[in-house]
Amino acid sequence: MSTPRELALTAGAAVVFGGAIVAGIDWELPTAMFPMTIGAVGLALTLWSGAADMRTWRENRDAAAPMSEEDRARARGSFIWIGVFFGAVLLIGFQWGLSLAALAFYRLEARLGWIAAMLSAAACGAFLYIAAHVLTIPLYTGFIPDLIP
Amino acid sequence: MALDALYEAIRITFTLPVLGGMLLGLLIGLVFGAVPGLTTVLGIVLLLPFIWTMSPFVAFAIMLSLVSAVHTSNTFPAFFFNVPGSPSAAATILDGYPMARNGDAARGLTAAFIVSAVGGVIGALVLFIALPVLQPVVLAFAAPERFMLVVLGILMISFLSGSKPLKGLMAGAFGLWLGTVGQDPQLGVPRFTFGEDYLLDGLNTVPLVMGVFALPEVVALAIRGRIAERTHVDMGEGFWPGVRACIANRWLVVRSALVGVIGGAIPGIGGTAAAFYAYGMAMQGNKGAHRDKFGKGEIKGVIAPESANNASAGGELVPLLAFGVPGGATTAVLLAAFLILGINPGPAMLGEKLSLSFSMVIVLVLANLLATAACIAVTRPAARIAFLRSNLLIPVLLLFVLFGSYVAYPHPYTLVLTLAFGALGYVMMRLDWARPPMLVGFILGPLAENNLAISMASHGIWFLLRPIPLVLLALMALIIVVVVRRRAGRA
Repeated sequence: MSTPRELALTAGAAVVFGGAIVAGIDWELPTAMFPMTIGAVGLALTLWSGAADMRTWRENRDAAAPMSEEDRARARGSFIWIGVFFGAVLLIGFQWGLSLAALAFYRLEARLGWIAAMLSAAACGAFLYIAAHVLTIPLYTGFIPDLIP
Repeated sequence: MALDALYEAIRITFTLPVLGGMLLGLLIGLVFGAVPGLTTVLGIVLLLPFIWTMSPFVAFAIMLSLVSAVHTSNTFPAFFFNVPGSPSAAATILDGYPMARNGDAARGLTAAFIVSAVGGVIGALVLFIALPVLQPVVLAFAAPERFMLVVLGILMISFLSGSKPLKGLMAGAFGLWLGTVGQDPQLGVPRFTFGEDYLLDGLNTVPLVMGVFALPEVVALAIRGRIAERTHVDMGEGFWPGVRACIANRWLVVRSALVGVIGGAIPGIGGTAAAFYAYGMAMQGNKGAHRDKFGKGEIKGVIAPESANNASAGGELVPLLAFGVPGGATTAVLLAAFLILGINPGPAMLGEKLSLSFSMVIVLVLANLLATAACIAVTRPAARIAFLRSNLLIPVLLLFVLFGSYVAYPHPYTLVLTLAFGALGYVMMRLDWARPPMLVGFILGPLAENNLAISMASHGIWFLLRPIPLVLLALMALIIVVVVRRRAGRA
């Protein structure tokens, strides 16, 4: 069953493969041969797949993959939390960002008590502290600390 | 030479670091198998950032023990909750869950664990025998043959690892394109780098694997909420009856193990399909009223898939070690581990690295035996693991995803890239597009490009007319015809 979402993803792939062919025009043969071959094969596949999707997309326009409203809400929640974790690390670095994001998750999403949430977050922090200071693994310190002179 | 390598493998494998690595892998694998949603692939992916500085013997001891332990402990949730601990235990549900509801869990689980060990050992022994036998075959493969083999591997995985072969092929082609990002290996010209120095060395494997495989699993876990609903099952008493059932069905165990090995060795088939074949074979071997017992708690319906499931791990390693072509998602990630450790699987694994190959066989044997012993010992407490709330695991998984990606290539862009691959992986998962072909294409892309360049330089396009490439071309045509006809028949 094809859906408009599949068609959109196929179209995205067609852009990538088409781009590979266009980019290869300016390169010498040894550089261009492989990406252009993949681009040509990939574009042919996307056109074939797109044509097949187009045949059925009208009747499936409203047919989303089976997912209940509750599942959809859970998925949305997980996207937000993944964004919070990534954002926190990018902004204030691994040690503070991940520990605070974990504390927020355990308290607000997992609904643990304050002590259990803090202990769980502290365990994440301890892992990162050991990685950074004992194993001397260079961990990102965040975008905001970089701005502070 | 093979005997020297075997001696070397035994000497290194029975050292403290390798045995310690095995125990670590077993512990992680037992938990990953017992908790639905935590898969073998996810386990290995999360280990990748930690193996950079390890000896290959220790690294593969951890990873292969994890694989063996998952294949064994994934039986718990299949029996107790009607949910497979990992996809390869899906066939076990058919009779495992009814057995548990009939109050026959102890007998069924004992039998399942014992045949898992036997199947795993048979798989490892077949691998052990295949390695020296395959050596002359592998040496006959030059650049044109290797190029065609890579293309065949991607084609088979694309066609067989999902319900949408055309989308699988597109994913494989997209993976090949991702592999071309960075400097061209021949002239050093930057390709698809958009002026970013970050991309000059190409995309790193770890962020791609973390994004495409691990992040979508985090979302799936969040959606699932509680890992399994509480159900009442009666363990029953039946350790010795379980042992007796294994002895009574010994030939079924061996036959199923061989099905598992063959299924594992053919790229794109894998352990899950092999387990269902073995189940079907066990059912076909019975007639009348006895066949009607299948699906209602027949012990043969547990023995056959469990034996095949564990044996497939050894089979899957045959094409990976011999030709560097992975057979499925697990071996695709193991291939990434090889590259991280600076080893190119293929002829070297049957030559100067033969001791590592033999060590992997020994680890598989030991890990299967130990995992079985551990599972039998912890049957009752292990059943409780699956009652964990999945959202307690999510921060831990995200910690490993973020940390692992960044350590692999320490740059803030790596985190952004991981997130972008995560979004792509999630969309692919929701739309049921196979993800393994993308990873296989990405990893094998540079190998394909180098071998194509050498083949074109030495033979021109006529390299396709050499005997082995011709056979491989015919095989590809045959696969395409079979898949197209099967789909046409379904339509």
